[in-house]
Amino acid sequence: MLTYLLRRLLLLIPIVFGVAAIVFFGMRLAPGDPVRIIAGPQAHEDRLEEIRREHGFDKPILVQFGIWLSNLVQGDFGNSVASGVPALRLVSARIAATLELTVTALIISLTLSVILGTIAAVNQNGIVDNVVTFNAMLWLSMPGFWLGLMLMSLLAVAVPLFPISGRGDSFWSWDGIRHLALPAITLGLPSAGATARIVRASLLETMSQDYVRTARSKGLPERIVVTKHVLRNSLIPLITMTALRLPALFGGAVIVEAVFAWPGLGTLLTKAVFNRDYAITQTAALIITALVILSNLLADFLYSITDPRIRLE
Amino acid sequence: MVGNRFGKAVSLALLVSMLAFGIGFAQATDNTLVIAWGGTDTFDTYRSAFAAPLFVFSMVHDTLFAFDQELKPQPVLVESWELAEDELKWSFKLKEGISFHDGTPFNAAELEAYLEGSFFEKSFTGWMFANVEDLVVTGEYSIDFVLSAPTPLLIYNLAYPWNIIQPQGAIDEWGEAYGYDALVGTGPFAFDEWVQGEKVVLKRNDDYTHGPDFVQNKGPAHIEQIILREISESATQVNELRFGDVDYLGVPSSQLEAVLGDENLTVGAVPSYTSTFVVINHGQPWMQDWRMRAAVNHAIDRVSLIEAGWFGAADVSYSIVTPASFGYWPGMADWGKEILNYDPLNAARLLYETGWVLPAGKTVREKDGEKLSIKLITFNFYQTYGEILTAMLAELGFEVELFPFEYGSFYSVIQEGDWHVFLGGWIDQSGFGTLQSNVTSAGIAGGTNNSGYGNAALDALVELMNTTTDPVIREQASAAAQQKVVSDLYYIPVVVPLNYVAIVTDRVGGFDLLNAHPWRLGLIRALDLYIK
Repeated sequence: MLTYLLRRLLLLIPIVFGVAAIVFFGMRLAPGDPVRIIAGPQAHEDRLEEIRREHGFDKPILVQFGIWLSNLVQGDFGNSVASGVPALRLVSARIAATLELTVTALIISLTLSVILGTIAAVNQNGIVDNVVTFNAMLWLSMPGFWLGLMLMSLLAVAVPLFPISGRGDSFWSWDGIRHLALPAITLGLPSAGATARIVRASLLETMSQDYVRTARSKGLPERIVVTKHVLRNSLIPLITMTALRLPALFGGAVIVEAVFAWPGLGTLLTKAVFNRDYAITQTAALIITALVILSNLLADFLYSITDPRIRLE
Repeated sequence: MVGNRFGKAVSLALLVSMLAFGIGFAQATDNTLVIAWGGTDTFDTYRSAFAAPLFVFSMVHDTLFAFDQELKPQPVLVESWELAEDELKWSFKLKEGISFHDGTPFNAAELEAYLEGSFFEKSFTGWMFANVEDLVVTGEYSIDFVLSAPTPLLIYNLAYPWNIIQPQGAIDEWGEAYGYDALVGTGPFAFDEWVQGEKVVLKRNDDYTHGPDFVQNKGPAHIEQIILREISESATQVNELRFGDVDYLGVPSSQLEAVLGDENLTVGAVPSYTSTFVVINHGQPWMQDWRMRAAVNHAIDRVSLIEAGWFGAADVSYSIVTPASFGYWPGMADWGKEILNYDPLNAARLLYETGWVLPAGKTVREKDGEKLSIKLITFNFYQTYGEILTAMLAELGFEVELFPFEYGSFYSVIQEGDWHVFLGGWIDQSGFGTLQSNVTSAGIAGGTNNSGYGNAALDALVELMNTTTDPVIREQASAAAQQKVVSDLYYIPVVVPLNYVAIVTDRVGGFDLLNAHPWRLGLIRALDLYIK
């Protein structure tokens, strides 16, 4: 298994670089001059030229790519055009907030989806199943932006249980949890809707297996049958789905962070794309890609724990 | 019975949870002003010319001069000044006893070190001082600006909000991190902390006593601390103002209704220094005919555009210089009404005269078998306005292709030249700068005259405006230049958005004093504001 993990980790390098190259060339091929954007219309051309030289934008694009790669292997991700500060520093300052939000949203999503999916499967085609399915579809269909504003209006304005926006003192403090609640629910709920459907389908398939029938015929209570025999064997699609939805969660975080003034990567990245701040965009893309690949690796690892028949070779 | 017990339990749970969560989130009771704003990437004026940092500059820094309520420059860091007879030297006597927040004393040597050490070369507004040949320190608090040519607008330029004074030592010491980890000025508030993406904290400078004459409180500020909370979403900003912990907000027009209906808020409106206009591409042969441009002008129903696009939060514009910019000629509103009016019949007549006729049963005008098709470009954040303008032009028989683009691609789209009409805007506190950049031949080469239209008479007027030492002649030149722009119709003024500002009435005082200035907080120091 160690060899497998090492091989996957080594594979991470070309994938990350491939994504980085796409982002590098994609950003540069898009119309727009970052120096003109930040300097405004009144700046004189000689000053603009100086800034372009400072950032190496006066060089051919392939030379720029070579310099960027060479700096990258030395741990230099480049400096932001807009602020002059190392991009890695800017991204690092924000990544914790985004991870805090996405991981919490993921936990909310998984918890809700397992509970609701199980309830729906156990009560297949009954009223409870229909109610759960309806809710799952409803959450899945709600745009994050709208859902966020509705939750804010309801739970922060009409009944002020949570703060309207912002991030609390620290993740572990009561204040931090209160601030995190609404953004995390907003991000996690649509995902829970989709995943609950998968859990339900997977449970129903497992429930029709012979060994489940055997368990029931042995006289085991339904609770034991479901939690001990069915649930664990239904987890594989859930793990796959979770790993696949992670990039969507990062994408959704951009909107949720804007709605709740959450100081994560989303606002930084959005501004960077509009300002053509290459270094920030590339650094954020590298880090998010690495995180997504690592989460997929974690999913592979979880497969082998969940189902001992799966070996990582 | 069960229902009753259940109800009690729910009520109790709700009460406990409300207490636990601190229901109501009472407003901060200390002497802190909380402002919602959109945030920035940097506070380094040499790196970014975005307007957002001005909010902090006006608190942390001083300019040598600042504009009063009539938009006339008044001294801030300067005690007195004198212009030599040959007009080639300005002598300034600086105020004594002022220090930067890092303890560096503010004096003539420090000013020279800053201006010559970095500002003239690196600032995006350094070109305003191109005529400054030399700086000569003549005493601890005396400095001469030696000029290569008379520069009557020097004081205006020194009062320009971007031309802040900073200690060169701090800029050198912090290097790339200046404007991010550190920001040093002489202003009424000192830069204390910047939590990226979250908030900027400014602490009162207790030593500040040199506020300009046009504010009532010369310092120190009444408010001990200012927190600028970074909130980008406008609905969230308004919710925080109405129900959360924000005290002051520049209200986006889309949220105006909610704010105006709230009796706990005091709302004030000031004209913005953003000018919104339609630019006609001189490079398109059709558009070189004045009648075509006049037809476009008369097709614009500015009142409807303001109602539908700006939710009523704008005024009709009669000059590309806005009333909130210095250099605006107040007579433009009356003068411009004669030309800048909605007159679809006249527009149709002008189009007919130029040979563009509307064939029976068709909605698009034609001439020699060719359709009257134009491409209207605009920023993506102006898309709604662009759609309204498209409909107005279509009413007259134009076939309009609307092309909204994001700001990042602005220069490449403009330079490609594949457009007829550009619905754009210009943000400038200086009317002189607006004219110089947009409508002169020099602006064509500089890339800011998007129309590409040059006119010798207009160039001469702008040149006179910039070089005359006689304020009366300057005003006349500025007025004539603004009239010429309107009558030529390459730049067709459309609207001036209004800036609405809202404060929480029972928290913040001194708002009337602040609002007496045409520039809202963000260019004006928060010296007169106080927490009740």
